[in-house]
This record gives sequence, structure tokens and C-alpha cells, in this order.
Amino acid sequence: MRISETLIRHLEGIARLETSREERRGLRCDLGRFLEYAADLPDVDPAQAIGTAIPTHLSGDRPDEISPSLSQTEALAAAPTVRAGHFLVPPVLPAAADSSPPPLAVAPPVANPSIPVTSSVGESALTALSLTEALQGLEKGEFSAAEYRRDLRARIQQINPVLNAYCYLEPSDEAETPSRSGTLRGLPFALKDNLHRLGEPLQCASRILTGYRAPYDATVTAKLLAAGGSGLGRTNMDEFGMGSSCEYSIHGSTRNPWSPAHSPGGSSGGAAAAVAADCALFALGSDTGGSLRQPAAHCGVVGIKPTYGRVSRYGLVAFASSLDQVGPITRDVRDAAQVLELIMGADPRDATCRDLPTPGLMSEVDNGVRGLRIGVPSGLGRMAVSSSIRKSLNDAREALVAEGARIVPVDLPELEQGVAAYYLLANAEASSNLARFDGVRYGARAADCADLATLYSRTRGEGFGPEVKRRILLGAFTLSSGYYAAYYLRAQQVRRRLTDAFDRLWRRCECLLLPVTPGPAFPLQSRLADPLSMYLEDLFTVPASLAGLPAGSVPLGLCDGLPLGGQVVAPPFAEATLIRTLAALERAFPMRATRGAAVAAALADGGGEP
Amino acid sequence: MMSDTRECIIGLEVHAQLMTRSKIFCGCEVASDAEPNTLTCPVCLGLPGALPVLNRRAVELTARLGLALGCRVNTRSVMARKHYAYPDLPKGYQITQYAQPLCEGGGLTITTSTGERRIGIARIHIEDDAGKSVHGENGSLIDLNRCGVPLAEIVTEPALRHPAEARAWLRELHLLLVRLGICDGNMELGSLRCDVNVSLRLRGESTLGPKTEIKNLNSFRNVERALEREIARQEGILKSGGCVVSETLLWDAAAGEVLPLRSKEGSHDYRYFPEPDLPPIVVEEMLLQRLVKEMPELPAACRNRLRSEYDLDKQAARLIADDAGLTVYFETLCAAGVEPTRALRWLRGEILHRLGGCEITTFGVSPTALAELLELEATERITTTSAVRILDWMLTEGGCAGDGLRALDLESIAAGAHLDELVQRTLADHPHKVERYRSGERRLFGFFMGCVMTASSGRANPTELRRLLAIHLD
Repeated sequence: MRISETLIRHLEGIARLETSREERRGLRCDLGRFLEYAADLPDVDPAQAIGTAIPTHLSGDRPDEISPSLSQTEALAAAPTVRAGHFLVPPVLPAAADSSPPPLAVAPPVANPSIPVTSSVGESALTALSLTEALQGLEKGEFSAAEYRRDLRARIQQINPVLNAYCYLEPSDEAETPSRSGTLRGLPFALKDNLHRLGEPLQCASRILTGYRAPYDATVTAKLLAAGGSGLGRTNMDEFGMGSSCEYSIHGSTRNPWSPAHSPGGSSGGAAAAVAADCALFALGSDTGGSLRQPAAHCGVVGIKPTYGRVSRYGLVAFASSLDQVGPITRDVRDAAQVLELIMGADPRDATCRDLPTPGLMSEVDNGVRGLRIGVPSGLGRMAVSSSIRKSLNDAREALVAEGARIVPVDLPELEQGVAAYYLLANAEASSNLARFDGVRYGARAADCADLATLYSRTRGEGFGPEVKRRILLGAFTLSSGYYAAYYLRAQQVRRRLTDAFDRLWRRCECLLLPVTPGPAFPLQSRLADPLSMYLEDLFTVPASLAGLPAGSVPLGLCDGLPLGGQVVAPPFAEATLIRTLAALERAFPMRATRGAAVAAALADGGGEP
Repeated sequence: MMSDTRECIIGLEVHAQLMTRSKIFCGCEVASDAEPNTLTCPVCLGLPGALPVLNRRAVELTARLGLALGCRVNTRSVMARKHYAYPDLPKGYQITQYAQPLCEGGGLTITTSTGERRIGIARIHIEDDAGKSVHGENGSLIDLNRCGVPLAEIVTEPALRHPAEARAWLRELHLLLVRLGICDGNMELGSLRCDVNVSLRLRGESTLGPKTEIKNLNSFRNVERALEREIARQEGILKSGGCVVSETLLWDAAAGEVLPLRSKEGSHDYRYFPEPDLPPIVVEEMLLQRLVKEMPELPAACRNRLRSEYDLDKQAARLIADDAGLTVYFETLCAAGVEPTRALRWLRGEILHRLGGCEITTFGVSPTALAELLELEATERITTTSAVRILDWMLTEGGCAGDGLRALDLESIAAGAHLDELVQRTLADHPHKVERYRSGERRLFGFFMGCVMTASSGRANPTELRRLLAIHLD
């Protein structure tokens, strides 16, 4: 589909987004190409397409009770300009004389640090421990949480200049003794840069949130703190979660610890790289279309996206509300089960979070898959999948059979339409969710704007990066009058069909084995020129996202020195089955020793390139 | 003002603030008198990561309104996002309902000079309010206290045909909202706001012409006046061969004029889609049954009942029925044995006069206490004049009617020597008038009545006085 100059200008207008001439030319081309790709979606049955954007039947409301508000000072704290207890914005219409408020400086992007690593990488015994092992060590009194923290900080300070996995590290406070109580006994956790931690800067790797400090804790943050966890730092990501390579970041690219010339995947690339390089014990990230599973696969660690509605999204900066879920990236499945147990459960602040009993997951790790019926696609059809991935999936199937599982061949033609439907729906929601970033109440504001419309379009034009702009405009297009039925509703219909297909599938098997990605990690910068090729990276992860299903990624082996991942998808709220199956695969494909050695070697090589 | 060849088509969109304690999607208090930006939280400020959670009271109140208006209350409805850019809209979208509103259909009957007419309702949905902008030359000041205040939007069919009808309909709706405890009805503070849509067409045509919308009318009178002005304006354009442009207008009440909205926004592309942060609203059958059971008598039904039960005329029934407090007061009086006509006469006269616009519930004399007083009047133990004096005594002293009667010594002078003596003395004082009366000037009878009444300090029993005067004069 050809995107006319008039149409792109209309979209820029409704999305309040100023672009340069050159940018606009690129955007017209990219949008056109994607819409051509999406043109294959089946026609819509209007009777079925109307509905909510939420995949499951939920209900959550609140009683009419008053809770305390913020004070005026707190409400106005982050605003670029205020006057007499009000937010202040330039006039709605341009005045004759320029009377706009003084400009607010926008911080320059942080240069990608590339200090070569010199010595002793990977020698710390403590940082190589898993969460389970670290907890045992603390219990036995072999070391203290403070000692662990000190070692971990030292390792981060040593390695992060190469990896760029962290974009913010909490100021070191040697006097601080982490709490020894709770499940986590004071052990530290890392947060993706889109999860709120009271008082810390939160930027979603975007220029537009320059200077924003979280005025509250995300529910998951609060839960980890309540469980005795301690904050450590924030991990890099693709801007607002939009990307599969961790390159679209104001903080610069994160590198893959297995090979610093490669991408760690994204958007939770910083979290995966940090956990893989023993720079974090475990990390929380978010997954909208594969943002936990894909980087976990590319970095040889475990990443789990829980069922939609299993974990509260309150305090997670929304990308696509009907798809976003918070989940862990850990070094092994047992750790993932442990972290999930800590963060699952209802939240009165999130109406889409289900009030269901939360199963014990740690106990599932050793249960095995004997008798479990596991679906495996009978052929990956005409999908573009690398031979290494096909082979690793075969190996995984055989390993599961050896463990006593019954393999059920399944056919899921609906998978192929997932990417088009996903990008239409996710970006429609993103264009809406990102409407609030306008420079009025918080974040950066473009300088010298004489009127409100200019303030909006310049703040957003300067504040958002290229991929975010592309997606906001695509989303605005999808929802705009005249295109809504042809794109949004058709995509919603595909989502419904995919969900129905999964529902039918669960009558024949208890979970499904899929690849995570079409191939292993790709070199940095290799996909930036072709956004569609980056989108196709999500081929196997978006189906579970669209259907709201729990899915996890676990290492299956190596290809040319880079890890490959396998994905298990389970029925809604069957995290227990998911953990059982992932753990069985983990036993069959141990990665730990390989990872430690490979990462140590890659980092000792000096990550000076590319 | 309207020519006979054209008719006007009017539809209303009414925003009623729902009487909840907290906002629609967060726990911030709803209040109109707070300092700016002191009733906000991450949710209503539109901070990143904050999520809305629906206040179930807002759903209940709107469903109650829907039931009262005979709407279909959908068991499943969906919230939607409506996008537009304004600094007092922090999220960049309003959370409202679009494809599947909470209530559909129904109607409300009005009575105007042309008779009774039921005006259909297209839909009622719930949504959140925006903040407040104060525009100055050097910029706009934004107060977000109002953000997230719950609103019900009631949309009529384009079935109104006259500004007076529009006014009457809004008045009837206002009455219902207040009676049901859904909205406090305060139009000055913006608890109830009305947008009107109007277009003209030749009589007999079935298609609608281009319409204009006048936003945020804040009184019944302004609704009527703005419509009258706008209809005259459109008619002027059409008569001179021009075309009406579909646009949004503002009403300048001071100048009595409609003005184009001062806005730079060109095209509206609201990009509605289902709100992904909120599950569908499910209204259980149990809730509907409870709401039906709790439903008070509605004003229209109350009017009809008062007319048949107490034989009131239309006007009187409206006066009593349209004020819930007055209805209770009136019916308590009647139940205590006061004749409906006497009760109505007192309420309409002395009581409303003394209330001076205040609620009857604030009146210092209870209906049972008043009933005792009116019993004294009915049995002619006191005159009407005395009853009024006792009423005022009761209001200031707080005692019962019997105490007032004794304290003021107002037992009516019914018979016997005292009244006879007063009559004789009065006639003796006015020999000429007596002569004129006897020579045929019969209207002087009233004069003598008045004189004796005054002489008796209003205590003379009028029936007895009339009898005595007749004896002495004839």
C-alpha cells in the first residue's frame, strides 16, 4: 500500500508528532511495506470482531472508597513549568508576541561506553550462583547479602562498560545492610527501565522521559521488596519496549555477552545480558510480543512470560496494554519458578489482573514430563526458520520423548498471521498509550514553543526515537477513521481465531513446543535498515502473546557459539505445566558450564567491537 | 420566530456528574472546592504505568438512571478510548463508551403547551471528565482536580422540535436525576451540562440538514435562549440562500450570542477502540433486580398518583410531586387528617412563602405539628388569621399549636355576649354607614366584617360574626 504525503501528514497531525522531511520519506516507505505485508490478513466477520481488546474474560472493579491523593507539590513535582499551583502550558493559539515559558534542557544521549575489559572476568564465585544457591549460601552463613551485593557491584562495574546492560545503577551505599528477612534475604534484583521504583529515574530508554523520577513503586517492585529483595539497578531496553535487538535505546546498544558483536535480543536485552553475564542474580522485564523470551534465548538464559492477568501491570509503563506482562529472566528454571511465585497474584490496582489461586511452582521443577502430552508442529511449513533451529527443535522433541512425554503432532496454520495481527494491534494500543507523553506534566519539553500544538509535536518529534515514531504512526493509521475496520478489526479477528485454535489445541495436549526465534542472535545493526525483518524475529513469540498464554524460553544448545532457545507454551494459567516442561528441557540441555566459559572468553577477548 | 415552511430538529447531549465519593478510575476524592491539583494521583494524572480501575458505584448509578428512563441496561458493555489532544486531558484520551454503551433506548415524557410528548433516548454511557484550563495571554493554567470525575452522558434522539421543548425535557431530566440521587443537579458548578445539536429542514422532508452543536450550556434558560438564537441564525442563512456549516459553537450568555469555538483543531479523528486496561462491564441480573426494588417513585408517576388520590389539579400535582420533600410533607399532612385542599392551600401559600426557596426539610414545623394547627382552623376554634399568627409563634418558640393558642390567647370568639357587644359597638361607631347599608349599599357588609375582625384581633369566628351582623343590620 502506498502511503501518500497527505495521509502521513494527517497521521502526524493526529499523533502530534513532528518529523523531518527525510524521516517522513523513510516512514512512508516503512509503513507502506508493512501494510503490504499485513494485506494478507483474512477478511473480517463483523459479528465476531466486535469486542474488547483483552484476551480473557475478566472482571475487576473497585468499591466507591476514597484513598489519599498526592499533595499539590507532589503532583507538580515533575512538571517542566508551573504557576500558582497549576501546570503551565503555552497558549492554545499562538500569541502575537512570543511568550512561551523558558526552555527545558533535554539531556544528550548517553554515548555507548566501550571501555575494554582487562582482567579476572568470571572469577567471582558468588556472582555465578543461581538464586537458589545464593539463598542456600545465605542460610548456611557462607556469606552475607552485603558481601554478595559487593561482589555483584564490582562485577557490574567491571563488565557493564562493555555490555551496557545497565542504564542505571543505584548509588553505592556501603553502610547499607540489606534486610536479612523474607524469602529473598536481602538479595538484589534488577529492573527493566520500564518498571517503577520509587525515587529512581525511569526512562524507558527514551529521551522523552529525561528527568522523570518514579513517584511510586510498581506492584511487582513492591512485592519483591516486601519479600526481602533489594534494589540494584535498571537494565537497558528498546525504547518503550519497541524492538527486538536492544539497539533502539537512548542509552546505546546492549551487547550479547556470548559475542559482543551480536545483539542480545530485545526488548529486555539488558536484563538478559546482565543475567547471562552474572551481572544480575535475576531480573524483571516485560514481554509484549516476545521481549522476555527472545533475549533470554539469544543470551542462553531462562525467560518466562506468565499468562496475561497472572502478574500485575501496575507500574509497568504500558506499550500494548492487552499484551504486556511482567516476568522474570533467570539463570535456571527453578529460579524463574521462585521469582514467579513472588510476583504472581491479584492486584486491586490492575483490573486485568486475575484473582485466582496461585500455584506452587518450585515444587513442579522436578516433577518431570512423564505422560504429559506435548504438541509439536508437524512441520514449520513455509516459515523462514534456520536449519539450526529446526534441528534444535528435533533434539528437544527427542529429549522429551526420552523423559516419557507423548509427542502430539499439531498443525497451527494460524501462527503465520500472528506477526501482522500483532504489529497492527500492539501499535494501535501503543499509539494510544504513548499519547500521554506530551511534555506538560513530566519529562522533557521542546524549547521555545510559542503555542501548544507546536509544543506537542516538537516535544514528541524530538523525544521519540525512529522506531517509536514508526509505530505510533502505524498505530494511529490502524485506528484512524476509514482504516479501523480494514486493519484493527481484521487483526482483532485474527487474534480471536488464533485464541480459538489454541483452545482447541489444549484438548489434545497439555503444552506446545515451539522455536523462540527463527535463528540465533544476529549481529548488531544488521536489522536496523529493514524494520520488517526485525518484526519477523517475533514470528514464534507473538502467538502466545496474542492468545494471552504463558510461555517460556529455555536454552537448547548452541549454533556457531551462540545459544539457541526452545519455547514452551501452556494453556491459560497453567504455569505449573510450563515449569515442568521447561525444567525437563533444561535437564536435557544443560547450559550453565558452557555459558560461564563462553561468556568469560567472549568478554576476555575485549568487547571493543564492532 | 420560526417560519411555517421549516421545522427544527433538536437533540441534546447531557453530562451529569455522578454522585460518587471517589473518582471513576481511582480513589481520589470528588470535590469542587479544593485547591488546584490537590485531588490527583498517578492514575488521574496520567503518569506512566498507572492503570484505571472502574468505580462500581458509577455503574450502579448509571444503571439506575437507565432503568428509570426505561432503557435497556446491557448486561455487557465496553469502555473505549476517545483520543484528542488538550492539556487538561492528561492521558491524551478520554475513557468513555462507544460501540457498546451501558444503556440504550428508553425515553422521557414532557408536557408543553402543545401537549405530552415522549422524547426517545439513544443511549446513556459512562465516562471520565477532563481537567480545567484557564486561558491567559501568557499561557494556560491547568488544574487536574476534575480529571476522572465520573459522568453519565445522556443522548436524546433528534426528536425535539422547539427550544421550549428542549428546556422542558432538560428540566424533567434534572428532576429525575436529583430525585434518584444520581446527580446533585448543580448547573452553576457544572454538575449538569448540556450540549445541544440543532438543524433545520423543510417540513415534510425526512433527511436531516447540516447541524451545529452548542457546547456547555449551564442553565435551562440558556438552553432555550441559545437554541432560539441559533435557529434564528440558521433560518437567516437559509432564507438568504446560504448553507449552514456543520460546526461547534459557544454560547455567550452575556451577549446573548452564539460564537464559533475558538479552536485550532481542524479534523476530528477520535480513533475510538476498546479500552484494553478495563475488562467489559458486566451488569448482573441480581444488581438490576436490586436497583428495581430500590427505585423510588418517579416524578411522573407521583404526579399521576397525587392527582387521582388527592384530586389535585395538574399544576398543583406538579408543584407537590416535583419536590420529594414537599410530597412527603403533603402526604403526611393528609394522612394526619388534613383535607388535601386545605393542605395544598397552606403549602402553596404560607409555607412556601416562609421557606423562601429553601427545602421543606429545613422547615421548623413538622407536618404532624402543622396538622394539629390546621385541625384548629378546620374546626373553627381559631380563625385563619390566628392560625397564621400561631404558625409564626411555633416557628420562633418551637411549641405545639395548642401552646401557641394559649400563649397568644387566640381562641376564636364564636358566640355570646362578647362578640355581640363588639358588633353593636362597631355599628354604633359608624351610624352613617349603617344608614347607607340599610338604604341598599350592601357591599358595606364586608366593611363591618373587617371592623369587627380588627376589633377582635382577628379572633372573631367569621360564620358567627356574619350571622350576628345580619341580625343587627337587618
